Amino acid sequence: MNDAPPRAAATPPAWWRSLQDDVGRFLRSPLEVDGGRFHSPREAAAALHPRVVDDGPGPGAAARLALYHEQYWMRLFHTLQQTFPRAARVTGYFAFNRLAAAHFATSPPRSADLADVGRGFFTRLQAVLDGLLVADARARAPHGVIDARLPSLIDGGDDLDELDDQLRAVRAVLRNVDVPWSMLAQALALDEACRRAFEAPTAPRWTMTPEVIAGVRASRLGVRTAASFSLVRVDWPVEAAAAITPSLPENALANAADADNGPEPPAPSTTRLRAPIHHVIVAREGGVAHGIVDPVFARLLLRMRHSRFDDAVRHIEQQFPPAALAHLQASFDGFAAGAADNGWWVGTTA
Amino acid sequence: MTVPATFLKSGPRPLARDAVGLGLRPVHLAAIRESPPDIDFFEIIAENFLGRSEAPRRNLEAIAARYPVVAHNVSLNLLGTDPLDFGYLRRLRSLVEQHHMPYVTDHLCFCASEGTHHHDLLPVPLSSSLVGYAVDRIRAVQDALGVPFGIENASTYLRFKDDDLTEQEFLRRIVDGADCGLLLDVNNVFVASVNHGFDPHAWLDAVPWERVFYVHLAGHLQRPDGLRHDTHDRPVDDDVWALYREAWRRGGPFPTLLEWDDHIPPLDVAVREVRRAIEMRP
Repeated sequence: MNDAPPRAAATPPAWWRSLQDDVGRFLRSPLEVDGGRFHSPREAAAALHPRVVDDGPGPGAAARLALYHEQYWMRLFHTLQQTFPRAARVTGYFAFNRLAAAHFATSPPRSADLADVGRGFFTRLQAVLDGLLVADARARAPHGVIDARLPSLIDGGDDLDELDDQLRAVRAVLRNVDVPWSMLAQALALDEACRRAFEAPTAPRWTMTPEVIAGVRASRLGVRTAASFSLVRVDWPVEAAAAITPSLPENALANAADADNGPEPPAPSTTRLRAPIHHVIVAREGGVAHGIVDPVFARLLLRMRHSRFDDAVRHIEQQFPPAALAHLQASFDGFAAGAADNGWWVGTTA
Repeated sequence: MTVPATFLKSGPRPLARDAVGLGLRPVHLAAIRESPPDIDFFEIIAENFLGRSEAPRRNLEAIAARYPVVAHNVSLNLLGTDPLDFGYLRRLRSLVEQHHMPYVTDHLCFCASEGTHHHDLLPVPLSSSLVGYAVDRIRAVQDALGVPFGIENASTYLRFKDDDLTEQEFLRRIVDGADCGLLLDVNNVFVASVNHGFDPHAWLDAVPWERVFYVHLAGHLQRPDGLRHDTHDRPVDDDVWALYREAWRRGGPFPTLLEWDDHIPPLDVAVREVRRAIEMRP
């Protein structure tokens, strides 16, 4: 196949390029928020209106242009909700869509793969929040353990001039999301772990023989952790079961209704769990797999990413009571075989 | 009609002219594995299988081992002014060859500009001054893919003042000029006919039936303001079934594919819906 067939050099008429660019700018222009709904402001289509037939059957040009405008945004909102389902449930869909709008205003989609629109959302939101959380809250603890509710954490200063439009929009949203920041942070972390696992390479299936397990236990061998592996500690009731399967329908127009005007999710419970849950997330053939491990083995998994069993045992000895170490020693062989079966460990290091 | 049990080792796997198929959606994968449905082929949205994730490609291997698969696209940006993405076309060709797909299709629309993707099938002016440009781009795509390529008529909600052709004239000139195939979406013909006030049966008069690869069916929404919205979220409308019968009478037999993209029902419901096509044929 030729890399650049001669016919690809065809140049479009100038008027067509100009019209397309106008359409693109129209679609990317923000929707208006009014009465808890997103809608296309009439003035957004002003540049295009004279180019569009306005005297056909049914509604006029304004309504037809608005359909495309709202469809563009709702499809992005819906996709981001699917990619970050736990965070969307924690904030509520309407608030989440406003966060999404701020994200896409600065990062419009540049890939044909709709699943890519979630890239950067987690990092951007974390960074934006860094700029909005009051200084003393930041100083007290890292993100994951700031327990105060979001409205009380968002900097309330009157320095609006120092905030750009996106920061101002995010602040306005989060002042009305009455959940603890650590709960949202944990929901986001779980969603992002799933998103990364979905796009990560899947390692071939690997089985640990008794000989290999013995070698690992004796620290003659190390283990190789899957590239897609994430371990997320959660102590808020953010649902972990949702699977992520981004897909690009030919026409997701019905999403336009669901993403905005559908029923909000039930308000999340903000009763903290009695004990933290450690989620292991990894890419598997055909999708993303979740597992749950106890705190001792969670520590073991993290430690053995970079060191051998004897070092991990010493570390656990310092962090946990003696019974935990006994539990580890008694259960290690079965755990190791399971870690390989589940795709968490994918090979050995000499 | 029986589910194909053999897997051809080489060459494209043609579809029977009276075949019925479904758009492959992730939500149906488990049900397909558990109880392979009585249909003749699946259509994939190719972009879903060419992203970073390996999972969709692995799932497709199992499907393609049992059923013929055709590749449908939503992002080639055939009438866009951004350059064609030959990197994507190379990956697509590889997927097509791997699974012996008989042809590839996309919509006659634009979906990106200034380097950003709109993730929509946007309408184009039905202008004679765009025909040559469209022909050049489609020929380039066809050359790059190495298998027959077809274009689909899209659902549209607006028309431009630059139009100097009817949609069927525009489509016909491009299909003839590019010497390509046609994916005839009967639902889209009906939706556009209501939205723009033309006779869908007259539209069928201009269809070059010898170029039709297969036919799409889907459900759509009737909005309170009268517009028909191509939602793919419900059963096929009775008026669309009537138009399908008419299409079959004029140009059948042709393979028939049901798209269902939102509020997707259980697999058996979707299969029943597409198999209604067999009963609808005159």
